[in-house]
This record gives sequence, structure tokens and C-alpha cells, in this order.
Amino acid sequence: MKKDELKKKRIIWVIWLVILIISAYFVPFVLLRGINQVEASFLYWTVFAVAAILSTIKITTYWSD
Amino acid sequence: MNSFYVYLALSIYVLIGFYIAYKSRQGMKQGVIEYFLDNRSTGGIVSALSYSATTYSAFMMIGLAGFTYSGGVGALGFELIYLAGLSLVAFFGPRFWLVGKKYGYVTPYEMLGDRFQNKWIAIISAGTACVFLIPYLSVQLMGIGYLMNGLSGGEIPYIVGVIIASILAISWAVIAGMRSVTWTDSLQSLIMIVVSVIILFYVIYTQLGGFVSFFGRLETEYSNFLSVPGPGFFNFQTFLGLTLPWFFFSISNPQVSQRLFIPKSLKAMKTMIKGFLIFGLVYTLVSVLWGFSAKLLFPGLQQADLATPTLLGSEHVPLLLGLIAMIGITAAAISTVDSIMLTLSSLIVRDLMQSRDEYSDKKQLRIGKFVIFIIAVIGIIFASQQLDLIATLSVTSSVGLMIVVPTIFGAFFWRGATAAGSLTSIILGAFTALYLQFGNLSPLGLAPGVWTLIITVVSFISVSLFTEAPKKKANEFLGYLDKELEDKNIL
Repeated sequence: MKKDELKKKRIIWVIWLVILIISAYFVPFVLLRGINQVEASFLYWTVFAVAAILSTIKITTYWSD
Repeated sequence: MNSFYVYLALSIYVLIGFYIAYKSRQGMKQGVIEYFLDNRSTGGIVSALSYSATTYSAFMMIGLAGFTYSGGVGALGFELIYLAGLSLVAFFGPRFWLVGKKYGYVTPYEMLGDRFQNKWIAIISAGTACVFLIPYLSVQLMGIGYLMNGLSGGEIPYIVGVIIASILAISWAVIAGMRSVTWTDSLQSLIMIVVSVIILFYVIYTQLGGFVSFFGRLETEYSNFLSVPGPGFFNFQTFLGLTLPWFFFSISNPQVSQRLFIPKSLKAMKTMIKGFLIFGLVYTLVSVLWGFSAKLLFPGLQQADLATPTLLGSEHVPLLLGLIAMIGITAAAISTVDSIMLTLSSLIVRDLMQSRDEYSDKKQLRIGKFVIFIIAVIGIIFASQQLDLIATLSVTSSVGLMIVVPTIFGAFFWRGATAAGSLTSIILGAFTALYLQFGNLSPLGLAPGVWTLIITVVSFISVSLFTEAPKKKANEFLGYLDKELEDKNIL
């Protein structure tokens, strides 16, 4: 991969991860505040973690030895 | 639980552990890189299992379950934000690995000292790591002491549990260094995950009517535990103060960041990351659900940390499962303690002893092994005193170790970063963390972790802007990385 392409991908992934992480604070504390169900914060944080895990794994799939 | 059964279960675990530790020595050469880094040749699966066992201590099954018991679902968010922090390894992991191989670094602080051409960065970082990690290690030993004492109904004295744990950790760290640590860690991580999952399913299906009924009861009996701030503990400021330092754990804690030097290839590192993330998600969910189970079964506990010991010692969990759970928690603690001992030993030999180049590998190893013993003795003394000071330092460890984070970012992403900026941020950060934590202060409602991060980042950037960077080294270091990153498609 060319340097510019790597840089572009890096910026896109960093922006996505920052948004994802901010959502882990914003969604449960603001949008789901007071919603006392398993399908609310419990589910959101689990889905958030799965998204973060898949994103991290995707970034490593670019690597070549 | 009769102490005979506790000793029997422990004996089986210890025998298997020693067998694996001795087996790992076969074919091992004597050298600093071999001893501290397994000759940078660890396979992906062992790296993943060992990283998991090192990261997750007795805190998960006891502390996190307790957090859930008292604070509700916020505990899940806290631990999963930590797990998401592993995304940092997708960027920093291959960078650590590449420069580690190229320049022969053994510790992360040795890398920072060389990158900024200033040995004081390595010395001060290693010193602060000792200040924060030895108490953290002692608290793990204390956990095992309390667990064995509690489960044997007081028949096994607290200090005996502490000493047994220390002997195991010393042995498994000394027998073959990183290799015996990673091999025994692999066994221990499997015990941790299998045991915790079995007990969770057992309790939920036999005592709580299955998952549907379990979640149904949570929603009706403890509905406020399913949102934040919930019962009150996880208000936003507390949550932010807890999660921020933990988000950076994978690069700030030397016992885990050093693991970025050991995989034998990038493929092995990929497996390590993947394996750890899956392990972490399962282990986190299980620990939190343990806490919720204890809430439903024993709603009136005075101390939340008793949630797990109460569950294990109750009639709801059969003797055999209780015993293997004790082994699972002991394994979680020991696998963390031996890794910390080995890393601290390497920090002392490589970073604090700046005259190391005058010593042969053999002598460095002899000193390293002696240091492990000394660290263990200090750990036992701290654990035997059960001082509040130790608990406070241990709690501060995640904040205190975060002080090197701006320096690590600067090392890899800013040619203009300077040694003066790094030293200022590390020193100011350490004082901020200690002052606020010991003073129990939260200026403007913000936790010590938030202030420590703000002060380290601001001081690192501002001092770097007004001082001179080691341009030659920065260009060589980052020039090498740029080329390798491009060749290997690393973001």
C-alpha cells in the first residue's frame, strides 16, 4: 500500500474509532438514561464492544509479514 | 469448605503448573533476550492466552463482580471501554514490535529513553512503575490470602495463602523467564475462562431458572441496575475517571506493553490481538453476570467485594465447582503477579541499572532473578501489613502508569517531541496522580485520572514546543518505521 493510502486509511479508522468510543459514553449516559431494560445499556455496550473488536481485527488484516 | 480439599485442589494445580514451567525450559538458551522476551519467538496462541492471563487479574471475578453487585450495568461499560482500548494495539503493536527487533529493546522504557536520547526518561519511568506496580502486585497476593482463608473457613491462615502465591509466582517467573511465564499463563488462562463459564451456566440454569428468567428478574427486581447512573455509583464523572486510565492500559502498563516485543511474527501478533479480544469479551460478560447473579441470590451483602466469595461458599455452588473456581481466581492472580515480577525485574536490570552494558548477559540474568526474589519479599511484607497506603497506591496504579502515554504517542507520531517535554510530563503527572489520589481530591468534579491526563498532555506538548528535539534519532527511528509500515501495510 502506498504511503498516502495508508495515511488516508489510518485517519478514517481513527475517526471511526473515536466516534465509536465517544458513543460508549454518550449513548448510555444520555440517550439510554433511565431506560431500565437489558435491551438498553447492557445491549448497547455489548454491541459497542463487538464493533470495536471487529474494527481492530479488520485493521490487523491489512498487515503483511 | 474443608481445608484438605483446598490444599488438594491447589496441589494438583501446582504440580501441573511446575510440569509446564520445567517443560518450557527445554532447548532454551541463556541470554537477556531469551529470558525476558522468550527470544522474540512466541507463537500467536500462546501470546494471546498469556496476554489474557496477564491482563486479567483476580480483580475481574472479585472486583468487577463486586462493582456490578453495587453499581449495576456501568461495570460492564467500564470494562468494555477498557477492552476497546485494545484498538490502540492495532496501531502501536506493530510499531513496538518493529523497533524492538531493530534496536534490541527489552523494555518499553528502554525504547523511550533511546528514542528521546535521554536515559532519565527510562530511569524515572521505571522508578514510577515500581512505585505503582509493587503495591498492585501485593493486592493480588492479598486477594489470594483472603480467598483461601475465607473458603477454608479460616483453617488456612491468610499469610499462608500469601506465601503460597508468592512462591508460585517467583518459581514460574524464574524457571525460564518469559517462556515459563507465557506457558504457565496459557494453562491459567484456560482454567480462568473454562471455570468461570461453567459456574455461570451452572448457577443461572440450576438456581435462577435460565437466562430468560435471570434477565426478567433483573428487570423487575433491580431495574435501576440496568441503566447508568443506576443505583448511584456510576455517575458520569466517576465513570470517566475510571475508564480513561484503563482505556490506555495496553500501552501504559509495562507488563502488557512489553508483550508487544515477544510475538515471533506479525501474524503471531494478529492472533494475539484476536485471541485476547475474544477472551476479554467473554470473560467480561461472565464476570458481570456473576455479579448480577450474586445480587439476585444474596441481595443484602454489606460489602460488594464479598459477592463472589459468598456465591462460591454458598449451597448454590457444589464443592467441586467452588474448588475449581478458587483455582480459577488464584490462577488469574498468579498469572498477573509473575508477569509483573518479571517485567519489574527487566525494568530494574535494563532501565534503572544504566551501567548494564558493563555486565555480561549472565550477570544481568543473575541480578534479574535476585530482583524477582526481592520484589516478592517486598510484596509479601506489604501484603502482611494490609496497609491502606498499599490499597491506595494499587488503585492509583492505572492513573500513575498513564503518565507515559503522551511520551509514547510522541515517540511514534511527533518528530518535534522532546526529552524535556517527556520528563516534565512524567514528573508532573506522577505528582498530580499521587497528590490527588492521596488527598482524595477531585477539582471541578473531575477524577484524578482526568487531571493527570490533561496535565501530562499539556506539559508534554508545551515544553516540547520550546525545547529542542533529538532530530537525528527522530529521523532515523521514524524513517525506519515509515519504510517498514509502508512495506507491511501497517496503519
